[in-house]
Amino acid sequence: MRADASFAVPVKLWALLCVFAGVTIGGNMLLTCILTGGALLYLVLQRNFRLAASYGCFYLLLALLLYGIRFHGLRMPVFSEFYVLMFWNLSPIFLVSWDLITTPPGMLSAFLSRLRMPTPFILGLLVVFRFFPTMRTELKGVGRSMKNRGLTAAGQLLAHPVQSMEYVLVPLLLRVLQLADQLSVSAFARGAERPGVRGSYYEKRAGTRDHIAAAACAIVTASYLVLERSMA
Amino acid sequence: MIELTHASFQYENSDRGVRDISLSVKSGECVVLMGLSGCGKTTVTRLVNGLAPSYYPGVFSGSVRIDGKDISRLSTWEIGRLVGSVFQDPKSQFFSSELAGEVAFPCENYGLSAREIRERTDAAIEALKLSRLKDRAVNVLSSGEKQRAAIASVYAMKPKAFVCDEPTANLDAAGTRQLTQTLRQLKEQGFTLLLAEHRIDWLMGITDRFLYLRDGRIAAEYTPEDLLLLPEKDILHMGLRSPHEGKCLPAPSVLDESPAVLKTAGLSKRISKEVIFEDISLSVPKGKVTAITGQNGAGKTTLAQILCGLARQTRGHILIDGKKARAAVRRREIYYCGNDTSTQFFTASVAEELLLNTELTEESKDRARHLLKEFGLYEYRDTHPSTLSGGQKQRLAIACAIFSGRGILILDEPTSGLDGQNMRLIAERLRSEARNGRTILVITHDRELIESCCDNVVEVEKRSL
Amino acid sequence: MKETNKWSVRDVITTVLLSAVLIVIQLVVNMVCMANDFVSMVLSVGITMFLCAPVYMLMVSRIGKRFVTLIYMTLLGVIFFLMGNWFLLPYFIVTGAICEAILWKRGACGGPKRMTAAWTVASLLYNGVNLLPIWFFWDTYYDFALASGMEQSYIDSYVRYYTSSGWLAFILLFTTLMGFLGCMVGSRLIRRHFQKAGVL
Repeated sequence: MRADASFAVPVKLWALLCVFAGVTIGGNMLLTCILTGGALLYLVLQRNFRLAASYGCFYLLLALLLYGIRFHGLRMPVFSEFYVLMFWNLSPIFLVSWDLITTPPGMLSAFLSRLRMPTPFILGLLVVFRFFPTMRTELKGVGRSMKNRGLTAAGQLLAHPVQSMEYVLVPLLLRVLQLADQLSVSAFARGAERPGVRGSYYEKRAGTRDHIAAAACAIVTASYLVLERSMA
Repeated sequence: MIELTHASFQYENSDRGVRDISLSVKSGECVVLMGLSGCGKTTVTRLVNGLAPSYYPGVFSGSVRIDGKDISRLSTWEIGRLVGSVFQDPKSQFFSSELAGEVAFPCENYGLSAREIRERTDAAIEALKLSRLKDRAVNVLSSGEKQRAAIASVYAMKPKAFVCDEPTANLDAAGTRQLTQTLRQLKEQGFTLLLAEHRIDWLMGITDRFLYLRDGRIAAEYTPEDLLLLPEKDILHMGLRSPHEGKCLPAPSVLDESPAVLKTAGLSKRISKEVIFEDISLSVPKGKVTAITGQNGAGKTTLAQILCGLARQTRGHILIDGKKARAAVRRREIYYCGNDTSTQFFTASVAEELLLNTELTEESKDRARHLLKEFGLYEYRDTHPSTLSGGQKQRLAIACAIFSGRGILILDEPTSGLDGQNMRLIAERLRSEARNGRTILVITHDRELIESCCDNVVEVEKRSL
Repeated sequence: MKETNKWSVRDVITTVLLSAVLIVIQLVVNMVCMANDFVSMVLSVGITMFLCAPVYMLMVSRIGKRFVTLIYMTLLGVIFFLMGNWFLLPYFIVTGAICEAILWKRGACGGPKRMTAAWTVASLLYNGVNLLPIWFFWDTYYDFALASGMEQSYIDSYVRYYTSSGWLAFILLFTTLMGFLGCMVGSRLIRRHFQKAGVL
């Protein structure tokens, strides 16, 4: 997602509030597709085409399953009907939340520093985003070393499950601690302990586009609720 | 600019540290600290950037003045504006996933106005020739570009001096060359530079003075000219890396007639459409040490992992003793010793690590003891591998490879963090292993290592050999 | 690092990273287990808490300050909140507060016994992650199931693990025990590795 297509953070929070209100107050399972549709549109407007397309497909699959369950007596041996329903119902929230947490970290930290949040808090937030890809790489590295040392043979894994857990956890955790230390040294040497308000590179004020988006969120939610009440 | 007078520092709960360091670096000068691992060069850099004693606790005496100011009277963030720090591993210093955000990071911490942050950040990106990569995510940059980004972020704070602690430890050949240029540029712009380094040849054109540290004290001082004139025997005795800039890597040699034990045919690797390497046909002679060199850092490591059965090739196959070998077979025959030791150790002590997954007999214990003694790790046999220094970890990883009993060993940049003394120790041992019939493949751009132990040199390029 | 009760940048970063490790383990186990009702409703919480115990103990003893558990539980709650289960946010904050209360007495750094106690209680309470959504969404599900022509017995069998007191007792006991065993493994790892590695 590109930073310039992204809505301002307050709009995103407002959108989250709207879908929450919609899903919690409204009781019509099937009609939540209005909210989900709105959420998909919201992603498209922010040029997050990839997520919109892939989640769109997943949602269609859910719709198909739900249709089968509701009208054709489909019963599921794996992944129970309850989960299908839950995922369907919570889809709009998933989408808007995911969009919020994948906001370019620079924008999030700019928003938080405008709120006068303390620097350590903002650093904690920044660090999480960098961390997931790193953790994947490290985990792969551990797996590779285990393979190399012959620690991944099926017999070994089954006969000593706790020991295998140790072989994965210990290097991984030691690495995480090491990373945390290196990051803190790097932050420390670059003025992170300085008290006071933090500045930000990505200064972005809410524009007309953001105001329209916020209004649209409210309208979609309200129309869903009105429709849902009139049908009840 | 930087003035240390009788500065001593001892880490808490440790006998390590530096004693009575007096050092004065003039404005615009470039000074390099060198010496064996553990001699205290890193500690001196930490005294200058204020990390010791404010981040690393310990006992400090003497004084450190930067630009006339006694830094013990300054808060840590004030020191940060005077002295910019560059560390070993750029990839574990980043806070932002975007280059611009990362460069802006310190300016943000200092609470500058948005306009000023933008100006400084853009200027720093421009100055370090990173404009082309401005919108790129930091994790796709090469190691050299990452280190440049780290320097740019410090540059944006406009410090008076730069302090670098082994900045090339995680760089490949191309990255090191880029760093040489960057440092030359910083020097030309009048910045004061203080570096701690093992490898000194790449610093020859930039440095004004070399300081040799031993056991936490400054033992000698050299001008570059002195250092180049130093007889080889003294260099060996001091445990230093050669100061002579390599003309270039030794030319690829004609492979000798020894029977090939490991062969590849048409090996290719792509990662989501990007060609990592293509159509590699390699033949590794038995009982020799063969070096693999080449510009492409990631390609060589991927090649090694494929050879060892730890990654999958896109096309082509690998033969051991003339027979096609599946990944599982290769994993039994070939040992891979990676360059990144951070995820390689599993047990609670050095001795256990070596003996991991082997049968415990008197004979194997004896062998382990000898190997540890030879690698200078015997006194650490009961300590936890993670407490070892970088060089010690690298030696332990190589020891594990040698101990493994597999016929073919592949070592990926085994000497990147080693001082001269240990580099020579490893070279000697690899030679003797080859004499005993083992086949050794070393991925390296370390000219000294190649000269001292390799029989053949193979150059790998993106497109075939 | 100076030993103070003030949170340094290093403490914040360590807490956040290790919490991220914990949350990833929890979500991944949760997702994988969804495939099967029995595993997901009966075993998943136990497995999660067993795997997470060493990480948790490392985190608390590494930082050695108050409120580590509360911060972690709050982060966990926020993630569930963002996944639409908003009621889990206050629930986990309360859970975190209870754990803090258990760890409180020894001051900043709870000993292994207290950490074990805190995590065992957390394991018991973590069942909320399965139970609360079902209770919360049950009415909607029930209506939908009836409308789809499911038989009463089919619907009942779905929640049998959570309605029969025998199963419920087994689940609670199993998860608590797994959390406790995880702590045993955790203390062993801490003694064997992390203390020796000098990171505590």
